[in-house]
Amino acid sequence: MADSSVGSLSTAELDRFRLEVADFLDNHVPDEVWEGVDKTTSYFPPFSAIMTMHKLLATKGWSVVGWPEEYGGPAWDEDQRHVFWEEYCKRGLPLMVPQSVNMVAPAIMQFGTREQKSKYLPGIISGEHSWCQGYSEPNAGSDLVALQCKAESDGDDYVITGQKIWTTWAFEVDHMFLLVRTSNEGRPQQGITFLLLDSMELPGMEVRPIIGLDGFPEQAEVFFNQVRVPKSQILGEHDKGWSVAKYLLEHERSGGGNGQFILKREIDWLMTLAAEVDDGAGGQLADDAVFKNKVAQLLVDLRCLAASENYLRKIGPHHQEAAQMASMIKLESMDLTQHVAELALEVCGSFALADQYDALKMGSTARPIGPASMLTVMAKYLNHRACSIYGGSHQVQREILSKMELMK
Amino acid sequence: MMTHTVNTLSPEVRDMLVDSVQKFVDSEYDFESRRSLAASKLGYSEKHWQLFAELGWLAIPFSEDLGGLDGDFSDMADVAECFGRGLVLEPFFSTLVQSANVLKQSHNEALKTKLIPKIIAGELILALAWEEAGSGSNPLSVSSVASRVEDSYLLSGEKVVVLAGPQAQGFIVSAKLEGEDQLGLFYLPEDTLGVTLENYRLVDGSQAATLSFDQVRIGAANVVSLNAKTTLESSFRSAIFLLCAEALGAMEKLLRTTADYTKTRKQFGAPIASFQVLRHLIADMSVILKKTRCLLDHCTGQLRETGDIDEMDVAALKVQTGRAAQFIGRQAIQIHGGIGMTDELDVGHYVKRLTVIDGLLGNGRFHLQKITSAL
Ligand SMILES: Cc1cc2nc3c(=O)[nH]c(=O)nc-3n(C[C@H](O)[C@H](O)[C@H](O)COP(=O)(O)OP(=O)(O)OC[C@H]3O[C@@H](n4cnc5c(N)ncnc54)[C@H](O)[C@@H]3O)c2cc1C
Repeated sequence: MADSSVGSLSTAELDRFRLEVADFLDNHVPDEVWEGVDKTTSYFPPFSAIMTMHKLLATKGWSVVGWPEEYGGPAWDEDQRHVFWEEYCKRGLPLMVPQSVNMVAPAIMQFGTREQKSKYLPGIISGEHSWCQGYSEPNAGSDLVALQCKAESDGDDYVITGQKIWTTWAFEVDHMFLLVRTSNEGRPQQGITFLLLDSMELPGMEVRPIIGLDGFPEQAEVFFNQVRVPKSQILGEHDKGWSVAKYLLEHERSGGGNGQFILKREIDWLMTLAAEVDDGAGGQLADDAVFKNKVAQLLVDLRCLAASENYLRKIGPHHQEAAQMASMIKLESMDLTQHVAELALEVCGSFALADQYDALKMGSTARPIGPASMLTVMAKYLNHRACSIYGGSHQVQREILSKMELMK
Repeated sequence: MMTHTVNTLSPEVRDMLVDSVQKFVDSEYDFESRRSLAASKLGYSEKHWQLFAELGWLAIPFSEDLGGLDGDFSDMADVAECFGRGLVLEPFFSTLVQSANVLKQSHNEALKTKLIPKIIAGELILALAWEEAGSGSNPLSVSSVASRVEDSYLLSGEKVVVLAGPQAQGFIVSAKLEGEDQLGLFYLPEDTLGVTLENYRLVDGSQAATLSFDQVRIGAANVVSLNAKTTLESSFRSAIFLLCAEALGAMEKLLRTTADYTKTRKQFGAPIASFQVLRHLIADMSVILKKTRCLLDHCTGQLRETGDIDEMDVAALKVQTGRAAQFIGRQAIQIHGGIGMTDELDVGHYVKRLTVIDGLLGNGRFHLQKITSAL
């Protein structure tokens, strides 16, 4: 996102920077966050762990490292950012709430009024506020423009009636950005407005958590019954929310360029699992040639992913190839995430079959059933099925990619 | 493989049984009832179990002189499939498949006469404790030990993933006979001194346990077998066969549910079944299901004719069922989209049962290795 010069630090300076980051992360992260690291079973780590970490990073000015300096990002160049993420993800530490830091914030920077910027960005930086994304509806999933949750004009207010669904963390956060229908005229894209909500408890609003396959709630349904919101809460313009949404979606898909580090850690974890499993013939699975061959194939995918992410980082988000790269990276990194989880399950066999709900709860001291290293294997396998559904399903992503190729 | 005459049920009796199982699943196993059963402490219904006894399902594999129907494990394939369709929770597999199989092969007539009529009457739930942390899914790789002291045996060791362990009233446990190259099987009533259970649930809502025993004394009356290698191997084979039959039922249901969903779910103004890429996924699910069924039927035929299934056929069946279970499970979720990821819909529960089946009795990796070694 930030346009900084690449490679302005010397190698020695960069090494020093790496040590500073590593030292901070190793010595200042509280146990609660490490517990969250051990209990991460989906793209989203436990919410409380994220926010604790967010607030800690904010004390160093490191909570929004992808942001331009003028909005509060650190004065780092691309190499530093890269080093930071490498050190950060290598430890499995929780990424900041993407809906806050990588979605609504860039949109506010791009489309927000001066008041909106000063009202919302500081809360995001400090971690005092966090956001959820209200796009999807029961009948508007892949076909997002079919959304029907409506906002009717009433003097200086909108009155919202309708429903959102799959809203990640709607029951944890305190702010929401959402798309509402403000007109049924013309093309469906034309009558959509982008709104910012300052609370999840406005009169007429109801949030109902949805229990996932691992037994924990992560998404929610959000109901609006005549919810009143002042018109000053529009981001962008009335009826022109679609362009904001599209801009934001591009940021969502491009990730932070750190999928490579997250997945590297997952593959390392896979190796430690295999070192704990007997191959049934007197050895460890980690030494099994067939297993190693499977890991080698994942490592090839990982190298491709790293190269692709680094390339996208180099060309920047406004390059003509950027959209295609972002869609491709979403597809590839999500596939790799699923493949690692699948192989982990295969490695653990019957050890991974227990329901670990009690041990996975944050704050719980229940012992894992079976080997502790395998605590998250099943929940990850199940939860990662969502990787090919959210943020544009694999089918939709391929539809986009094919259009780009066919338009050339 | 030995050829011997196999007692199987007549097709008429078999059809009658399956019919009654299907009726039971249809009337008793709607998703909500199943969900509350799984959440209950017992994890199944004693009333159902009594019904199973009344309808003769618990008598299928046992000989007539003990009150059985004189059938065989091949006669239970359709039953297992119906259970798969309904995600039935009763500990049928552990009692009527795993344990019944080794009991049938036992020469301890007194023990059989004591236990089998109780099973048939629905008064005894059993668990077979064969797997260990270090066994790498191989039932012959055992480190629990049985050492002989006069007429008895002292048993020490730990068994993992003992299916229905928390529900069982008795355990059949495998152990290495000290100083011999042989395995033994021993019967442990649930209140045996020195036995401890750590109970838990599997992700599919069924129950399992870790079973530890330290210097537990077993009298001669409770010795199931002192020559258990072939017993364990052949019972492993028929257990795999029936587990795969159950998976077929679950996959069939999941494919139906998913195909139906594509016809009703609309996006972009059309049923999602109109998107070719989804239709092709449905086609692939259908193909993988069909060919897995053909392989299962092939094994059923073998079992019916010879009383056993070729080792490589069983390995292939388990590998293929695992592949199909994974593919159908993952695509069922994918095609449902967000709703497929929720606890509220039955889809995820089928996927979990299939995932558990894939991981039990040696997963695909284990059985593929078996086939590889035979090359
Ligand atoms: C874990 C998770 C977190 C989420 N978080 C959020 C959030 O925070 N905020 C938010 O607004 N939403 C969120 N979502 C919702 C997500 O964006 C939707 O699930 C997604 O857009 C798909 O919509 P759907 O679930 O309605 O599936 P549907 O759109 O009904 O899709 C069903 C199936 O049809 C396929 N399909 C649809 N259209 C086509 C087509 N044209 N061609 C071929 N195949 C097609 C899909 O790929 C899918 O396989 C989340 C979802 C999940 C699973």
